Amino acid sequence: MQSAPNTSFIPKRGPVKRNRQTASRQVHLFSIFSYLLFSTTLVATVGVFFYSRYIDDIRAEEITSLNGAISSFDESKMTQLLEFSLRLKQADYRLQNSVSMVSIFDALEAATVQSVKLIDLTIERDLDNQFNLTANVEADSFDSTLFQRGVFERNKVIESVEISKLEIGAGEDAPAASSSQEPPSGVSFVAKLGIPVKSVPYNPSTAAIVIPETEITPAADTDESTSTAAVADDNQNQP
Amino acid sequence: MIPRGLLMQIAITILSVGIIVSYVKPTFDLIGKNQNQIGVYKEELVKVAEVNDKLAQLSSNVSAIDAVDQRRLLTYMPDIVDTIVVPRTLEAIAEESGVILKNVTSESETKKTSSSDTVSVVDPTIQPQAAIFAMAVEGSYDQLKKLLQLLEQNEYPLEVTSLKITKLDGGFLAIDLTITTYRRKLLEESATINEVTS
Repeated sequence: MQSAPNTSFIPKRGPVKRNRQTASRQVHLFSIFSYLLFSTTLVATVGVFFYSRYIDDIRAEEITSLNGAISSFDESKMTQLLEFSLRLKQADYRLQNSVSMVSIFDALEAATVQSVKLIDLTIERDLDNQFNLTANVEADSFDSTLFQRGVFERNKVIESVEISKLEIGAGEDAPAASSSQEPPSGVSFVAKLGIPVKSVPYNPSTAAIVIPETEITPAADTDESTSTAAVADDNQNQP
Repeated sequence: MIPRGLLMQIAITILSVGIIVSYVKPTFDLIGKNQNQIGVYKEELVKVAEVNDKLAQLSSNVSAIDAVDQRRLLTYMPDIVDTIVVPRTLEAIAEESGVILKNVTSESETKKTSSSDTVSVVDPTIQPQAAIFAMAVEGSYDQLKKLLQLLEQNEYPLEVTSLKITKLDGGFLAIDLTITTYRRKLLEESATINEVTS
C-alpha cells in the first residue's frame, strides 16, 4: 500500500514522540547520587574497618605498656619509703617541740625575788602548748608579794600569772612570830604560771654547758643567788 | 510504572544509608571512644612512669643517707619502746647527775597529760606513740638541774611532762617526774587514725 502524496505546502507534524528530557535528567542525577553514595559508603566501610582494627591494636599496645609499668611498681619499696617518711616526720615533730626544762628553772630563778621563797613546785606539761607551774610561795610581806607578781608579769618567758590563796601569817615562820606576840607578817600564796612551750625551746648548742656542782640548798639558792638574777633581769626589763 | 534502573538506584541508596547507620557510624563512634581511651592510657602511663621514677629516686636518696644517721634516727624514734632499756637509761642519768634514784616505773602508753587533748590541731599521723615512765629521785637543786639537762641531751627523747618538787629535811628535795618517750607510730596505726578522723 502506498502512502498519501505530500501535496500540501504546510508541513505536517509526524507521529514523533516527545522526548522526556527533564525526567531522564532527574533519573540521571539521582543515579549519580546513588552510585556516589554507595561507592563512598563502601570506601568508608572498608576504611573504618581497617582503621578500627588499627586503633584497637594501638589500644591493646597501650594497655600492655600500662600494665607493664604498673607491674614494675615496687609496692614493698613504696611501703618502706612511707615508713621512713613517717618516722622522719614524727621525729621532726618531737624535735620541733622539744623543750629545755633547765630553761624553765632558769626563768624561774630570774623571776624570783630575794624576799620570796618557793616551798614546793609542780610543773605540768599541757601537751605541746604550755607548761603550767603551780608553786606554794612564801613572802615576808604584801609588798614583796606585789613586787613578786610584778616581776613574774614582766618576765618574757612567763606568759600568764595568777596569784591565789593569799594568806597572812601562814608561812613556816608564822608559829614563831605568833608565840613572840608579834603581829604575823609572813604571807603565803599559790602562784600559777603559764610558760609556752615555744618560749623554752631546747637548744643543743647551749646544752653542752655543764652546771657546776655547788652545795647551795634550794632554799638558799632561791633566797640569794637567784635574787641577783631576778634583779638583773628586772633591771634589763626597764625601758 | 517505575523503571528497573530507578528501583536499583533507590535500593542502592537505602543499602548505603543502612550500612552507614548500622556499621560506619557505630564503628566511627567506637574509634573515637578508643582514641579517647588511648589518650587516657598514655596520660596514666606517663603518671605511672613518673611515680616509678620518683620512687626510684627517693629510694636512692634513702640509701644514700649515712648509716650512722639512719641508726641515730632509729634510736631517736624506735619501733618499740623497751621497758627495760628506758629505766636503765634513767638510772644511769640519775647516777651521773648525782641524785638518789628512788623508783622508776613504766606506765601505760596512751596516757595524755592534759585536758586539752580533746582539741588537737596537729595531724595525728605525725604524732608518735607516747610511752610514759614515772621516776622518783632525791637530791639537791643543782643535781635536779643536771638531771634535767642530761634528760634533754639523751639520744632519744625523754620529755619531762610533769614534775613535782617537795622540800625534805636537810635542804634536799624529793622530785617526782613523769617522763615521756616515744616510739614510731606504724603506718597501719596512722591509717586507722586517718579512717577514724575522716
